[in-house]
Amino acid sequence: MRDNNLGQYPFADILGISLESVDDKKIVLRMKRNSVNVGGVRNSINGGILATYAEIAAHVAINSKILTGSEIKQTQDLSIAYLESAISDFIMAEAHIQRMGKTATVTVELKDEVLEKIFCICRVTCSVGRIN
Amino acid sequence: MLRRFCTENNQVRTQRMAKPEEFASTLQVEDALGIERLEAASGMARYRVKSLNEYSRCQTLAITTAVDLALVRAASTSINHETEEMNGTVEYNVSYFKTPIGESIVTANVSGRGAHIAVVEVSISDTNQTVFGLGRGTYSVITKKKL
Repeated sequence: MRDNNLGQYPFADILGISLESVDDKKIVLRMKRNSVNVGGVRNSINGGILATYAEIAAHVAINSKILTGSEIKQTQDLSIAYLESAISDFIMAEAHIQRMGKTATVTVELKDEVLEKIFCICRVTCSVGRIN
Repeated sequence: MLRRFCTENNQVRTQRMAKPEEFASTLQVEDALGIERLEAASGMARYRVKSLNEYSRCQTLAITTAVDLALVRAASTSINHETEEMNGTVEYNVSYFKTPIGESIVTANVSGRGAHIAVVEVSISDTNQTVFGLGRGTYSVITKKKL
């Protein structure tokens, strides 16, 4: 994994996001409930924040596999479905890379801290290119 | 509950907003991510997202949050607060097809409304008023329980 992968995202610290684990198959991030990220219905984590969290998780997953000399150029597409209100103290993000190339696609599931209940399902597609 | 909004030409307007028990405050979210409320009217809402050029790889991150905020705010202006309750975003998608320049304006418009759902379309433009992103989402509305 490239150094400072999560550190390059300034929002990660503000939102209480940290790297939980990384292996060949998936990346797992953890977001601690705090005064900034709460703001949804029924005192849940804000839905927009959850989408941004999934986008960060996708970027971190892509960066873990990206070739030296390449970088994520831009998020191209993001789709998110909210299944349950995210009300646990920690929200876990499990990111699985589905495709790597000039276009990279990652699926992200946002779950509770014991990885049982799924709050959201997200798919993120990014363009990848050579560093200018 | 009345809320004051500043429009782009700094006119102040008041708008009936969702009650606190319907959804929690998002002010801290907005402050943290550089998002600013511009206006909300019947069936529409508009937000500004500050330029994040210094973080070239995460320009869209705050915008992704702003899309949901605008979607929810637009939906909140289309419900009958006496008989209906906000119940959360069901889903949304957003496509970014150009690289934005400068700050972004996120505009959400309710394009369809049923008994239990509001469909909201979102467009995102940059400083040059170039549209670089489009989205669409659905918001769940439920009937208030009679006490």
